[in-house]
Amino acid sequence: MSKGKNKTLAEKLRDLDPRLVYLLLFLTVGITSMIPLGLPMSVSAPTRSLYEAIEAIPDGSVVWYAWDISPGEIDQSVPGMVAMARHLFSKPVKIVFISISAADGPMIYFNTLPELKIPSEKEYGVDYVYMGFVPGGELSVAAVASDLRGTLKTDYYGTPIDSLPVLEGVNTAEDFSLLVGRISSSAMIDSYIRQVTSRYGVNLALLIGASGYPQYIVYYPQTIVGILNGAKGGAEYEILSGFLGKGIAGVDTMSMAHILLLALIVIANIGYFGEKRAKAKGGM
Amino acid sequence: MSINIKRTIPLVITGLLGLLMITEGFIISSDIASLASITRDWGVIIVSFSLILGGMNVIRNHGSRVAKRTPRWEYSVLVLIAMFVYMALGLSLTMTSEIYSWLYDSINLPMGLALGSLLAPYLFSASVRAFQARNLDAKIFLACAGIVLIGNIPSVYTISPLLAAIGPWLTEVPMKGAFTGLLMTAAIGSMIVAIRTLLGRESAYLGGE
Repeated sequence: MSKGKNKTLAEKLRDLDPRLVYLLLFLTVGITSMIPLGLPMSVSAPTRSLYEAIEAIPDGSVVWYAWDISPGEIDQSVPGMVAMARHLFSKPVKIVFISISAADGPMIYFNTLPELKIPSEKEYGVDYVYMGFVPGGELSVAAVASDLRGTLKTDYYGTPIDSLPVLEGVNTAEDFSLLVGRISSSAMIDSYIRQVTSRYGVNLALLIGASGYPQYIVYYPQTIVGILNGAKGGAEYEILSGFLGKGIAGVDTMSMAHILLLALIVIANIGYFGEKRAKAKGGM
Repeated sequence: MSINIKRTIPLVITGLLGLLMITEGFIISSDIASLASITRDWGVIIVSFSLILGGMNVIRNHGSRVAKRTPRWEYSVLVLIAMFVYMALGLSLTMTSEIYSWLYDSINLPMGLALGSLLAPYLFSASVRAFQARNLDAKIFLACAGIVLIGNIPSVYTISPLLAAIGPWLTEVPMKGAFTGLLMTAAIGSMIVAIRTLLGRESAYLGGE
């Protein structure tokens, strides 16, 4: 086997320089971000199920929106979260935003508020409310689910819970018709399943990061009635709901990045088989 | 027989509270439900205090590095400055103030996004190296990965509806089955650990010897 500068073409293809890979990725993402290709996309069944689950929420119901997101997940998750929230705001339902598993939840909520484009007829405290960050992981999920008024005495701004019309009659998780949103860690999704769905029968409709999707598709469609698969799912939901945003703008980039990865894998394997063939011929 | 008070009392507390929580799930009683609710509220309060403990730990660790001038102690100074600035602003002006929001949006968010985006190049590079058909297992792995990758391309449906369907099928049928088995195993393991914890046989959470 050759070393260093005497590497054969096959070896160079097999051991592609990571810097070249990074450069190609940078160029692909950069160019497709600046020059949209307008590539079409289809909508997957779990995304469609989530859309239908939100459409089926009875008028006047209260929805628990889990706003659990960390800064590193913003690009992957916020487009889908915004599309889901805007869909909910377009319906005559009440929304209770709560952050439990992510301490950055409040700051990202306020950062994202302008994108939600909350209709002017929706009033804070009457149609929606933000309860802030509740530390404690699964313990907090259990506490909020079993006794919301006992655990959350005020909303994020300090308004007593009893003077918030949106939470009138809401005492436990049973009073919510659906739990939607983004839960930042896999362990916490299990917590919500245990403490909310199993105990109170409230179904989940979640945006899950692409890495966690294979793990939580197990619960679809019985427990998790609809799933958005990361950024792709967010873009699909924007198409379905009609609330287009950053998600759909990233479809071209996602497609071309996937194609680049496939191409590089093929090239690396061509190099591998080329080197193997050369060795077999006794050329090394 | 000597009793180690330091270990016995926490184990008894764990066992009793665990029993209370389990009983709440099986016996419908307003008294038990009320007790369980109070216990959960206590837990939330204690966790909130633990955040303060975490903050004090950060100050202690990084303060120690600065005092001893350990390698890269300058970064510990930055950590402490950032911590105190955010704390001071948050306590005096609240987190909804303009300056706090500006600081967070200008520093934390871009840094968090940058760290998150670093994952992509590393995954690319690692995938190119990992997905090479060295043996039969690797060939099967490569084939499955390739199918799922193709299925995940948002626009693949326009090229071939069949290619768009195979990847999701692989995820939603065989992979779902495999993960269900894993989850069942993990659930049984968790139950065993929980029972051992309630019986005091598992005391790793107490720390120490």
